[in-house]
Amino acid sequence: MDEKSKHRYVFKVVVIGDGAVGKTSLINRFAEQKFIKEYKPTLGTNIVIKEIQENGDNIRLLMWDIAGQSKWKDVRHLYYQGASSAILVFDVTRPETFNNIPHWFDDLLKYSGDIPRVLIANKIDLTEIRKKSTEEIKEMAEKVNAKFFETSAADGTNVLEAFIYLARLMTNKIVK
Amino acid sequence: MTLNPMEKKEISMNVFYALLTALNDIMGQDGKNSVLRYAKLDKYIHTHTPDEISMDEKIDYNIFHSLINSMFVLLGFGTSAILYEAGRKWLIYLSPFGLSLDVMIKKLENWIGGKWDLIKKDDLEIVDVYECPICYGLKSMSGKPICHIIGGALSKIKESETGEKYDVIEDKCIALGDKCCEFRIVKKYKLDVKEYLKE
Repeated sequence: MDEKSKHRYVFKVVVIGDGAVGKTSLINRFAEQKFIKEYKPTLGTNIVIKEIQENGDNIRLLMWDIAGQSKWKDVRHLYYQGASSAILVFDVTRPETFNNIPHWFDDLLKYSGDIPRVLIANKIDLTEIRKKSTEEIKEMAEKVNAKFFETSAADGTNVLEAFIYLARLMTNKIVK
Repeated sequence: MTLNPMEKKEISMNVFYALLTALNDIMGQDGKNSVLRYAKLDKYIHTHTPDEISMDEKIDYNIFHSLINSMFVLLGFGTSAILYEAGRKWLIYLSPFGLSLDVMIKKLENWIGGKWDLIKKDDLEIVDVYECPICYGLKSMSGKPICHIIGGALSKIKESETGEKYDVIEDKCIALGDKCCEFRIVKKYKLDVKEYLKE
């Protein structure tokens, strides 16, 4: 075996949060380094595959971009099954999306269990209309027992860092 | 002599479109399109299900198999519930008329291939599928059976026939090295489906 390619992993990552918080944009930024300004709600779930190398390991991420709109509530539980990790996303300019994070967290625990996760505070590039402070986000991260990242899918700030951190969490869990 | 389903070359067009419609219901348009893209069947992304499909219309088996394979890769990872639900929906679109199990398995044999046998033992019904058109050429990576789509379809057939709830457990699978895929049909009160579907 090539020493630089130690292991191959496949992980399913569910990306959850209210509608229009930027879940699809975060995945597009991470997977394809692009940002589309026009908003088009996800219908059901969109699945994106991204392969990365981390510490010599090949990691295949199956990212499930799950529709945030309530019309998908009845089938959403099916999408959680088999997830290895989760990304909880809210929009720093819309406090209601922040307030709903505990509901998404409850769903996650109910259908996927206590899996590795990160909290993402997205749209930090919109500084003039930002409503949630770093201190408030830190408190929420403690509640859901996750590390948090303040990101911008629009300019790419911290997006890669969040996904790589999550990938490390999953591989470390397996190694342990 | 065993029949390679690929040698059948063609399957009924209605089977393919019914599965796309079932996927659309469960995964939404974006989910269905993700599966089609992975299968390199992009040309079907904007194709709507025809209002009426003649039972004589056919589609290349390889196209159907690419779709199934893509569903296993994208949806089957760690989850059987979506594939099982897709099977139930698929059956509704294939035949909403509540035909009996023995009639329906002959129809499925005709539509998608394989050799389907219904075995009745006391109050138990078992369906054996040889040369299974669903898991053909695939190996189970989880060490568990993988033909949840057929399981879901059989459960819906029984429900439509009797008006009662049924679960279907796949005890054998060609993808595990068994000679056939074997499905046991059980009345719902006898088994908790969540227990069965637990990965």
